[in-house]
Amino acid sequence: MPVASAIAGAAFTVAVCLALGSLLLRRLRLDFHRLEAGLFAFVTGSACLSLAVFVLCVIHQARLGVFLSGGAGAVGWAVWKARQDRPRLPLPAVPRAWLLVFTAVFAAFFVCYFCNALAPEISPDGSGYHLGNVARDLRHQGFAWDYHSIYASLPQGMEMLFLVAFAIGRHPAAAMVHMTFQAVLPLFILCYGRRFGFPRVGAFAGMVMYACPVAGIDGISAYNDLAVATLLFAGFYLIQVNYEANEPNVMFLIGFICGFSYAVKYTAGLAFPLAAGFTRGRRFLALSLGAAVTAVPWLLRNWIWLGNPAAPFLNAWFPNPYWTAAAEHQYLAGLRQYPVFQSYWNFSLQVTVLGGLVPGMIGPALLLLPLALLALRHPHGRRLLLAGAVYSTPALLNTEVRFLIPAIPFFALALGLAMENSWGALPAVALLQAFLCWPAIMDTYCDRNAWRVRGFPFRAALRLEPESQYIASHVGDYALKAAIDQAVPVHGRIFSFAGRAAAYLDRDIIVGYESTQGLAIQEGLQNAAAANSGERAAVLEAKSAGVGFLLVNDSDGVAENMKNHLNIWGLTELAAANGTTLYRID
Amino acid sequence: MEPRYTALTKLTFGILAAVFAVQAYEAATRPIGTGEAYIYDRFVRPASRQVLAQELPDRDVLYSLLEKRSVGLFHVSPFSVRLPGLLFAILYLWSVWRIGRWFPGTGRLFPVVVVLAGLLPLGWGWFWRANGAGTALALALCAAWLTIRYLKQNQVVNPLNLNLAGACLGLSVAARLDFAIPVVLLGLLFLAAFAIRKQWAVWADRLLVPAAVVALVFLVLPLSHSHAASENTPELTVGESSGLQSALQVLRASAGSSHIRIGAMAAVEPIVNFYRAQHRLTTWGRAQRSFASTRMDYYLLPTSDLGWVEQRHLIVLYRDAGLLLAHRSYDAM
Repeated sequence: MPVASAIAGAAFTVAVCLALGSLLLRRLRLDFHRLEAGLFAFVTGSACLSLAVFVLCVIHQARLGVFLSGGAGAVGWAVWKARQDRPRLPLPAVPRAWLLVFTAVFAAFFVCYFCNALAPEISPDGSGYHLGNVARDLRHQGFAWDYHSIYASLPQGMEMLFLVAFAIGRHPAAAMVHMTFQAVLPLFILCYGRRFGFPRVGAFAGMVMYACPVAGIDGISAYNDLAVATLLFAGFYLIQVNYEANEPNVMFLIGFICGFSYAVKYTAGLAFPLAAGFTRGRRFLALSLGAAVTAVPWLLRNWIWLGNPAAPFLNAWFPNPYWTAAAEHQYLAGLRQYPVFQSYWNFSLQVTVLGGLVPGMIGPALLLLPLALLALRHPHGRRLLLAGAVYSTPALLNTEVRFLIPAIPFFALALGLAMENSWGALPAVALLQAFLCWPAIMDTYCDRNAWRVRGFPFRAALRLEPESQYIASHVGDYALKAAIDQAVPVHGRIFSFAGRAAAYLDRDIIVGYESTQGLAIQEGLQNAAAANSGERAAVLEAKSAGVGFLLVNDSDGVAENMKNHLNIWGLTELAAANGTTLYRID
Repeated sequence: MEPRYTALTKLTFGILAAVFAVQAYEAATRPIGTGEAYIYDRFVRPASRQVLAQELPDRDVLYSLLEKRSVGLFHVSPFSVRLPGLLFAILYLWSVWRIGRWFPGTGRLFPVVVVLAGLLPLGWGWFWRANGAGTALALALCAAWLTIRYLKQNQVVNPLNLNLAGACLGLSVAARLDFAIPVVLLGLLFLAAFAIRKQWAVWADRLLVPAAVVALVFLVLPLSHSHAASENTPELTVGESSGLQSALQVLRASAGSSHIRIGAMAAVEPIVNFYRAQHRLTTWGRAQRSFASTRMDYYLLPTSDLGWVEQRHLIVLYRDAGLLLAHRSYDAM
């Protein structure tokens, strides 16, 4: 059942996206070619569905019955309308050999990714705050207004889609929705090449992108980076379409996608100024209107709820009681702390081949990226390089390689254009990337700690290996799930110094660094432990803030003190596993 | 019109052929050198997966691959590990010949230039030694010839030849990493030639891209170890190499079919392991460089370590050409 429900949850969500998108495209009277119409329907429909679920979350009607009835209605309406459609024209053909190679590579990696996405969700952020937010929203049938965390205040455009899938098929269903974006992206890239006259380059870049190791592991997890990359590329695609047919409806759609990109991840907000720049401010009103529809709800939510439309950032401009500018500064400084590299060459190797010091890698073939500068000769190349450069800037603010994912499609296409006139170069590099990025091959050369797809977890995917056993072997916190379920009341709150697998622990967890309240509790406990006095007062202070339980890692500064002086602290140890202890505040 | 083959060109050809024959003889008869044995032992003998797993930088990637093929076909011997380099000597001589025909023509300067250009690297042993230097040189020169030919008659020559030149440049770097800078300089020289003709796009598409792609294909994974420190492999002199072969024969006779462990100095250790693979001496353990804390059965050391040998009451079995072979005494055992 978990397998069927996961697939059904993802399929239902994708179907509703397609339905809403096709209705929107029809309403805007936009005519696309056959394959690209489906792709645009999916991305614009995902924005529509996300917006609809946002409204349901605001009015606390985000529940399975509403999703099923609303979604079924949308699909039925779209199917009814589709009967009136006239056949669409196909895009210019891809050379047969290229189509075969692309299909073979795509199919091989799709099977691998599908198998991994279907396995229980074990990614750090996926099982942490992404699905943690989703699980909380589902528990509350909407936004939990009394729960404050920097991760809850981030825009949750993607989590709104996850919520629909999660309500049906739980965690893997959400991951599979993200995997759908991952699969859509290379098809988009292929269509781009076909539409604008370089199909071989499109196929090349699609393969390079789809085989990219960090995009592989990210895409099969309940993250949002592949969704961001797909949306940004779709927006860019439409900008190029707009060069051919300058219509207000296209501009509205560009804005709509840009706004949704922002709603999925703040860093994708770069799409809007870039779109305005590419279109030289023409039809700016239509562009802005489209962006406003999908982005403003999230700004308003945070403004009304937290007093900061850009929460959890810009706290110096919008002071609020939930997070301070100092804490924000410290948090951001930690994110951009790159490890020390011996040389630029060593850094390049880490990002492309090894992936140990910077989590994940983009693939060995992309060591050729400097050659992409040759694409400056080509008008498309110049635009692609500019977009790639703009979308790679967030990587300066966060050391994780996944922040480069949105730029890879652009750079891959530019690289393809640069090598287009070199006989044999495109297939050689594409196949090299596909070969070297296959999980079994990566094991031979990359850093053993590199974040990557490690194989085919068939047994876990088909639940031949029990779900709980698989999750417990990868997610340390899962071992305490039973104890938490038993000891912590449904509306009870737990304090933790470190982030937790909130997606699997069905209780609200207040993490020390994630909110002002959490920081206050953290400092109180740490100060008491350091001074060896006031322990009981610190614990009672936490209790007065609604926290009845503590999750403490052995590596936390207060751990030893607590363990040795339970009576002084006034705690009862309930359970311990994998270096983490659950205490009840007496 | 100058005749295609004059007496001078025939004489030049004869000299080059003779020189090549001497090279082949050298390749067949010279004892294996430390560097050659090191490449074999560290990068050719192990399986590819093991090569990737070890933290050692391979500077002769393409040559190692060719050597693996050669050893697979002809078994391990000094000649089989040198065979790829020797074959590339033919490419080198052909390129010298072709460039010579273009540059000084078939006049009196032709034999001088060709024989000099042919003899120098051959004389330095670039082609009979089992490393990538000669291969890299031959490929770079072949690229130069193909490019010159294209520039001379670009309306006639198939432009794919230029792609081939680019691929040769990439292969040159892959054959010997030290050629990266010379190849870049050569590429820039070509760029200047193409830029004068306002054909820099041709240079980019047909030379730069193929060169970069080919180099990437061969080097991308080995380069992941480029930051690793390489092992010290001091070369033996010709006399020491000959002496070592004699010492190894003595060792073989002494050890018989017993299982033995061998400690050897850095310059000798790869050669002992090569000898072990060549003669399929399965009873010999792999020779170790670091043997201070491990008791070995035999030691191959410089004669300057005689004091150390006496201190440990080792029996000296062989001593010549700056080397000594010592055996652990039965008392010590």
